Amino acid sequence: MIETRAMTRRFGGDTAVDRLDLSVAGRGLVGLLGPNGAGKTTTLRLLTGFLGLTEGSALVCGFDVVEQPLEVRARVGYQPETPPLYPELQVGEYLRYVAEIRGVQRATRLSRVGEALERTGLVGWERRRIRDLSKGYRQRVALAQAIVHAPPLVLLDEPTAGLDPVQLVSIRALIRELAADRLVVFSTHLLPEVAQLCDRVLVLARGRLVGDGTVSELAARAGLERALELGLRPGGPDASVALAALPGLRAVTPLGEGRYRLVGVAAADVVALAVAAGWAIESLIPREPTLEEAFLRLVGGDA
Amino acid sequence: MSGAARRLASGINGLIVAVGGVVALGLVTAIADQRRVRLDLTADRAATLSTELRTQLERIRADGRPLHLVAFSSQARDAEAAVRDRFARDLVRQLEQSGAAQTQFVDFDADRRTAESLGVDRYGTWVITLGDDRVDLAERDLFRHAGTRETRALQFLGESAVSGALSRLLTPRAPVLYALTGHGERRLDPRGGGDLPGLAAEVAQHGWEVRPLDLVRGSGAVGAPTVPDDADVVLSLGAQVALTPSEDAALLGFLARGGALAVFVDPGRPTPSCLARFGVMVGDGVVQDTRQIYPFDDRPWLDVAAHPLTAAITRDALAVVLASAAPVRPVEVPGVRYSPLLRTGRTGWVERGQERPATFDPPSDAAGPVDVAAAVQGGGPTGGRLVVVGDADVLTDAVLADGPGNPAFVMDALRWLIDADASAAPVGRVGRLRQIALTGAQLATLRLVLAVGWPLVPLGVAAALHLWRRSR
Amino acid sequence: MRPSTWRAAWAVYKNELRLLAVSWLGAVFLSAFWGLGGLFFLVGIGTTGEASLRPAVGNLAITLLFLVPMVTMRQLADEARSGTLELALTAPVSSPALLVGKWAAVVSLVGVGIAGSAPWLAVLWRFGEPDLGLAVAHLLGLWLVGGLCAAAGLFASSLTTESMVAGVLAVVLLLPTWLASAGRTVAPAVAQPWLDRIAVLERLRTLAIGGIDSGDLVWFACATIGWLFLAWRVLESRRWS
Repeated sequence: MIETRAMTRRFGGDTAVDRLDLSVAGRGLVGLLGPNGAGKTTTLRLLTGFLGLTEGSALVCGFDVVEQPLEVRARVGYQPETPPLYPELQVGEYLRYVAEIRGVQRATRLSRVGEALERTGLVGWERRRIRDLSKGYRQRVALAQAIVHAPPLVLLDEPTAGLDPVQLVSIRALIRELAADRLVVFSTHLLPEVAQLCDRVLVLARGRLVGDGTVSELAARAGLERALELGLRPGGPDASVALAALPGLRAVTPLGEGRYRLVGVAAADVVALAVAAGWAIESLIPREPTLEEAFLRLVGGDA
Repeated sequence: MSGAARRLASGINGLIVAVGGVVALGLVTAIADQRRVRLDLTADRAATLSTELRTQLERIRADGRPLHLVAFSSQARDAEAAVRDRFARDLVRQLEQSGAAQTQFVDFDADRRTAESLGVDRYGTWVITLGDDRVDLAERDLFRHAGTRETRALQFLGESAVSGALSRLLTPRAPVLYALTGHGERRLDPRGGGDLPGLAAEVAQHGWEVRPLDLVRGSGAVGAPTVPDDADVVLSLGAQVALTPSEDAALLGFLARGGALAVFVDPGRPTPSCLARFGVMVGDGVVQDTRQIYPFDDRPWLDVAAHPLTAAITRDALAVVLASAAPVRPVEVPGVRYSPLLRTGRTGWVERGQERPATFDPPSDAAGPVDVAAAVQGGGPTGGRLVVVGDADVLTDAVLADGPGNPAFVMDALRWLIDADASAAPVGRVGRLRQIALTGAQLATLRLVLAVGWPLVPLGVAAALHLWRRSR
Repeated sequence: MRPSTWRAAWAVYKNELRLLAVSWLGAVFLSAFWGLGGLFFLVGIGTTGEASLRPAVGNLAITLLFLVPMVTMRQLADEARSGTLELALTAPVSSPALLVGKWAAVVSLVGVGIAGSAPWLAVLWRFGEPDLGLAVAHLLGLWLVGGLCAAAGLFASSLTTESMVAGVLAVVLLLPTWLASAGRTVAPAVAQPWLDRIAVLERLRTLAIGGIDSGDLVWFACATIGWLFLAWRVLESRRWS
């Protein structure tokens, strides 16, 4: 669905996207993750043709974004960071306009708009002025315009920005549902969101792709491993030396107040040692590498 | 073409494309300006030059000499100045666009230098030069007022005046008019002096040359007097005594070889006897009519007969007023065509008595209608032309001013005599201002409606639309 | 699947008209044009006694010079700021179709404004003896001026994201074409032909006397296309630069 080769975009002397190689296909939800200024919005704009490539190439839905931009745009639904809404228009008027400019034939236009309204929970809101809607409902309208022409690929730029917790839940559910029958790529800098929703994560930093895969794949790429966190009763003697003798141990890190982080050992071996040493174990928790850890490692490592 | 859009849109390339596009469009407009086609939407055909004028301009182009026109503005204090200047600018611009002339419209007050360099000292003057030849048009040649006292409207005669000027510039020599002397005639001297300064100025304006002709002493030939070969028209302007037979013969010979003669004679004065041989005579008595021209009580109302010479007067409904006129009537002569120009109605008669006020007393007085002016055209290719007017006072400044049609009648008569083929009517349209008359109350009402009421309509519609949308 | 260029332009055109209608901008434009125009018309006929629009045409054209940019200033500038321009430029609508659709909507609004001069014409016919052809020529001239101002306004709007700046810039871009006529009287002779080329009042003179000159029509068409072309190049350069 998306194939880029050395896709680059410069603004004067600044390189916003630097030789990006992407390959995304199929259906599902792909997160485009990165800190502010990483090039997420620019990447999406390049894929929609809103911005032109300085170098490289990009194929979207089989069409070249430089040579066949209109074909690309006909097959992509896009919601920019600022929802492109006309406050003076009613919801239905707006969606009919978007459907028309996105190429929905007159015969099917009303039904397509109806479907979009239904999928985004806006049935009954057609005659409301967009100006009169809450932020959450405006976001729904913005989502509806991205899918009104039933595109196989939907690109969403920070679709949950500025929403309150209740609105967040509903929008995330919508996005998840949209990804059931198409490829949805959405950008965000919120790690929990990506961790919660995405089947696959693309991590950008300073215009470059620094991570691509599932959360655990990213962790492995970031060099992160599973660990055990041992909690002994505070006040006891330092157990680092004793723990260092555990078979297979790769690293032990005192965390203070009787807590230790152990990498490369089995929980049973730790328990056996503790019992033999007469330590009082308060907790023994396995720790999987988190996306945050992986993200920080990946982004920070690129500095 | 891979990446062509990218290359053409950015940096210097983008600038070159933008500039190139603008330059290309500029070239298109330049080409279109060279090949203009004009559609005139007006009923008065005011937006295009007349066919006759365009033909003259084509002749100008073929002539090869440069044609320049400098038009000076009207006096700003004049209430009609803005309208006059607008008419003038419109025509000047059309002449410029024709490509045959270089034109300039000069503010007389702001640019005295140009006026001085051209020797122009009057507002509204137009100076037209073709090579080294020059014709000046006065403001009165370009504008006149027509209609009754209540409905006087400004008319623009620019096309006609310019056309006349171009004719004079294109004509190899100016027409020569010989004015008879030696019989007490009124003197016509375009250089100043003379008895007919107003007529002299008009003649000078047209560039006609006027020379005195004493057939007895000044013909220069030994033997019988003859009219000079370079004479276009011979004028008899109010002779007081009769011509000699040899002088009559000279005039008849002149007519027979295609010459043109204008005879203005007062009642009771002798007329050349050659007139009868050419199909017209002036009778005795004074023409009267119960219909008088207001505010006079001794100026009979005259009907204008249809003739090329009277076309302009007829078109503009101008009244011709004669002081006291002798009757003119035809004489049956084979091969000549007599055409009345001015005549009374059935209520007119020829007064032969002395009573005052004059009353119709048959059988001494002859009943009307009575002609007071006529044109006679000789037959054949060398047929001469003759205009007889039973009143010579009409040539004086006083009587010329009495009737709005008087100057036009006299000048058109001379014009017809100079060139019978040319229509005496002005070439081209007469520009006029279509007028509207509103009272103060009407203006006040319209102000309310058009400047307040009507503009509120879209706001009202928008408000209704807004409310309707909210209610849905 | 994607609309043709004309369908896309048509869709944009309809939406722009809808926005003009529901946002009050169209109503305010018409109200201002008819109000000012009505005043100029009455002053014109009251002063000259002439039964035509000619005394008012110059002032009506100047009115369009200032009013039309007020409409066009939001068309690209405001939309760039609000994000709706991004919607259009990421839809399968080419930039020329987008510009033509927006321009045509403003030209239609100007057309409605000119159609609203019907009461003035009714006054001429009721109280005077006007020339219908002359009136048609005057109205055509105003419509051409409106189209030119709309195109220049779109170009100005494409240059900035601040709508007020776009409005002022459009007036600044158009003023030289108005002042060129006056400027030729003080300009050196070598500059006068060039000033004539850009002077919009020179191009209205034939229409003012009731004639339609092909050279003037082509000039208006090329000037309008020129501004739209420049607006297109601005949009493209933003895409690639």
